[in-house]
Amino acid sequence: MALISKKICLIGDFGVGKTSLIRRFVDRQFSDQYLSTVGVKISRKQVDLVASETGSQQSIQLLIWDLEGHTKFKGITPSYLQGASGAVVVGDVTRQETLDNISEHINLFLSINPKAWVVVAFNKIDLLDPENLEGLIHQSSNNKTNQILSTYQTSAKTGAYVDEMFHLLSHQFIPKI
Amino acid sequence: MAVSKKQSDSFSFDSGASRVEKSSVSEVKALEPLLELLLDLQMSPGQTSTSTQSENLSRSNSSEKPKKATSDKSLESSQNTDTESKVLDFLFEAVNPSVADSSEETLETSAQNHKSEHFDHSPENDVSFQKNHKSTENDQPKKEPHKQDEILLNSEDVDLTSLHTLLEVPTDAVDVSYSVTPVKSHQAETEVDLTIEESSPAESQSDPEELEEVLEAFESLRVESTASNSDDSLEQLQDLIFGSTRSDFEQLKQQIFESDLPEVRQLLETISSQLKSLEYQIYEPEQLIQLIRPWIADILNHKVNDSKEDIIQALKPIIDQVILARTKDNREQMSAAIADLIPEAIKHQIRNSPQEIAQAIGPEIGSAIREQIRLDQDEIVDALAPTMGKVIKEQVILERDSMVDALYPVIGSTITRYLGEAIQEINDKVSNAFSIEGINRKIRAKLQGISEAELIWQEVMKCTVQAVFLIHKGSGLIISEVQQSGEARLESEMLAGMLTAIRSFVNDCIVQAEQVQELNEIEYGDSRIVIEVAGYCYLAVIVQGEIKNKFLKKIRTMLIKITQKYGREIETFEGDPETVPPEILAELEKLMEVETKQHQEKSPKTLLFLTGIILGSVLIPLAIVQYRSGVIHRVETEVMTALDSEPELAIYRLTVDAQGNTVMLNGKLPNQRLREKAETIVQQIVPNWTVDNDIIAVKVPPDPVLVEAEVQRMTETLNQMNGISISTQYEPDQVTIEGKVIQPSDRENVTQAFENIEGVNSVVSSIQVEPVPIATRVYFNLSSDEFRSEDMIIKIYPVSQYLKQYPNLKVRIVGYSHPEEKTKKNSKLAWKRSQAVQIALESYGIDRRRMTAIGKNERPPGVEENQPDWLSRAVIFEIILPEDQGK
Repeated sequence: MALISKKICLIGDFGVGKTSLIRRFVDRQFSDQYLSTVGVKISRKQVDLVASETGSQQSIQLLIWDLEGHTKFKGITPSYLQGASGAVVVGDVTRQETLDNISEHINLFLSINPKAWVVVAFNKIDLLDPENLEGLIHQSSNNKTNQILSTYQTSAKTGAYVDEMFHLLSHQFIPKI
Repeated sequence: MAVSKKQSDSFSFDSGASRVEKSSVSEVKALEPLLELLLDLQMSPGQTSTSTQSENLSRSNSSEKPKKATSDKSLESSQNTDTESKVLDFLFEAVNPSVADSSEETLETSAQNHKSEHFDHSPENDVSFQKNHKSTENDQPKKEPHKQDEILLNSEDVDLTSLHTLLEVPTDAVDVSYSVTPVKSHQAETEVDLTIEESSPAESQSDPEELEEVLEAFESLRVESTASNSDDSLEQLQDLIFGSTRSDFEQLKQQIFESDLPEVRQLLETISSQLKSLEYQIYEPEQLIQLIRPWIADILNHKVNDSKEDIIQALKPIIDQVILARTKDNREQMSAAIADLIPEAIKHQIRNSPQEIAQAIGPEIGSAIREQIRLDQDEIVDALAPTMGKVIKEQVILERDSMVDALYPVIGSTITRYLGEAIQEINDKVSNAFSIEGINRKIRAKLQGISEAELIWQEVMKCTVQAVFLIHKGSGLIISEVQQSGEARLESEMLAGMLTAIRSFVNDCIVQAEQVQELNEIEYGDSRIVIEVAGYCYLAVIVQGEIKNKFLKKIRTMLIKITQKYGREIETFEGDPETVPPEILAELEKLMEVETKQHQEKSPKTLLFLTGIILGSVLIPLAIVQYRSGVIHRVETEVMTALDSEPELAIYRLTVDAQGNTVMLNGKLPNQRLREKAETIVQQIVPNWTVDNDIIAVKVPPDPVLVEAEVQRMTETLNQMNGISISTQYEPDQVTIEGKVIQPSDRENVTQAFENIEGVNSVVSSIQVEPVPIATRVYFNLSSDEFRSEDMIIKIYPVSQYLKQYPNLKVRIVGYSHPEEKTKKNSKLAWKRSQAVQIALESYGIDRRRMTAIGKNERPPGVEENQPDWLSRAVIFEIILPEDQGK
């Protein structure tokens, strides 16, 4: 089957680790054009999946738009979110306010792409004590929408769940027969 | 007629009660009308029973509605006789087989039937005739069964009983008439409910006692009539019931029986026939229907008032089927019937639940409008036209992209067409030359503000398309792409993403709010990315070389075509290349070819020819200009060189410009002389040209230092010249010269030279004209006047040259001799020696007249005794200045 291309956006507050996640995922197979002045960094990664229903091979080419983080002074440019099929919303577990803003980001994204899919990433778990993880699990259950596929506790540093997250998102893009 | 309300129950009750009282008084009276009634009945065959009924009914009616005006049949028990006739009339009417009547009859019948059931327990009638004015309810039921038995036993009895019951019926009938419930009687075929059950208990008491009287009368009649046929049982019953009074009863019976028997019999016959007919009517469906028919509406009405719910429950299972059935029968009517309600109904529904209406009609509004358009197109237009503008405006605000997509194909070509036509007009007007294209180009050049040559350059220059991308506007994904084969492939996805990001960024940050503008072109080096934007996609073409407008037009046309045909697929593009129609790729590839094809197209001869001509017209003048400028340059150089070689002018900066046939000199020179000198020099070089001397003679105010320097220089220069040896002293404005010059003219010259120096006003000259003495001495051998031959060349020749150099010099040749040589013979030795030299000089071309040869017999000056002898044997030269007289 031909190579399907999909645009996904990485959104979240400033400094939560979006770029690190991408670097961990995209590895060396990309053509990385850094456009920080225009607020977005586009990476490309091909994901090879096996469709669980049909068992057939399917490759998806992900065009990952790494958006500049949302700060107090600068919001995300909504037009960058257009046309995306999925999003990874990232929060930093060591900073509660970034986690609180996750639902806001999700809402903004879904308002522009109502049919898209979202994966939530609680990043930097390597910095957190295990007992605090429980609180996180509670938090993730608060954010339930149909379109949130899953919530992951990731660490770009250790690589925990990074690949899984992107793969899960990619699976959604395989055309279901 | 038979309608009476329950409310009058009380009345009837009261009246009934009253009647009871009165009945006791008017027992006999009660019987009278009855008898007459019977007679009447006899008279009007087949209607007796009914009339009886009617009478009773009327009586009951009257009793129940004493106050009703309508019921003018009301009978006061006390006034029975008075109203008898009325009753009879009424009965007559009633008896007529009218609808009401029949229904009444049926009602009565049913009532009767029901009544028969009731007899057991209804406490109404059966007042003991004889004594029970206030017959208790207890008694009545007893009589009832009694009668009941009688009815059953004897046909006649039956008749009578039925008559009796018929008589009784009215009361019930009355009841029945105003309450409509399904009839439970098995005998009755109507669905009229008999509230007799309910009402009868209440009513029974209120029943006119008159009736009871009547009944009693009848009973007595019957009893009498059956006296002859009396069964034992009957007699027994009678005994039981009547007891002691039986004898009276029997008397009465006898009386009546004897007196009226034949009539009674006849009456009975008629009654029975009547009864039969009644039965027929009741049991026969058709007849029954006829009977009931008049009353149906009333029944229903009553019932509805009474108990709505029951009716609803009864009818609801079939209502829809009823309507359906009717619709099948006659659509038109059904529609007409419902039609009125529909707008109201819709209005109600809208008020109640607006969504439902919308959802109901929604799916079909399209076809509805289509239908309307089919019928009358203008209607829709007129309806929508006023708001079209606003609609479009709103749509532009809400969803701009789809509007753009919609209008883009049209607008582009509209404007292009219009402009094209305008330009064509201009073209036509202007074109009058040998080639339209040439004129075109001229115009284009003029319009673009560039030279025609540049346009030609553009046309000739190759322009290649490196890649073409069709990119989805929102997501930046590539819909379709074509790239030049063989070259390094561009990273298309990244490029597309980057372009999309830049476009978004520009719009968000740079463009004013509310406006949306588009990036048109990115130029880098000699390549450029041309961007053409549609509604949901945009085209990015990477081109190397000069872009021609024609090419841009081609891009636009192609994009219009693509968006028109495949707009839907483009809009819903989700990144799956398989959803992209392959025709798009074909279109893009055409764009790649366009350039090369166009390039080849430009080969035709006409264009070459034109190109040649224009090139020629450009180059030839160029050449000429070049040549001329070469000439001029040459001239200039020559002049410059000449001027530079002139020492006096060399130090001054002069510019030479040659144009046409004129040489212009520019610069500054100290004085006029030099100026003229320069001009002269130039003129010499270019005799055929005119010299335009713009040199300015500048009187430079003398700078003392400079002047002194000049003086110094001059001194040195002059000193270098042969025959001049001077020294100068400079004081401001005055130069003092000292020194020697050989020639007098030199003295003049020197003085003159210094005078010529700018800034020197006076020259004091004490130049001595003093020829440089010739130091050469020629030596002779002892007593000889011959000098050595080599001296000729070594010494004499230079002297001759010297003398030649200064032609105005004279020379005295003085010979000397040594004293030892002094002899008479040698007395002229010195002179001979000088002569020899003189002759020698002459041989070199010196004029004799310039020389004087003398001899002195002495030692030459400077030679002492102690010095060698040969020194004395010499000839010396002495210069004589022209003006000098000599020494």
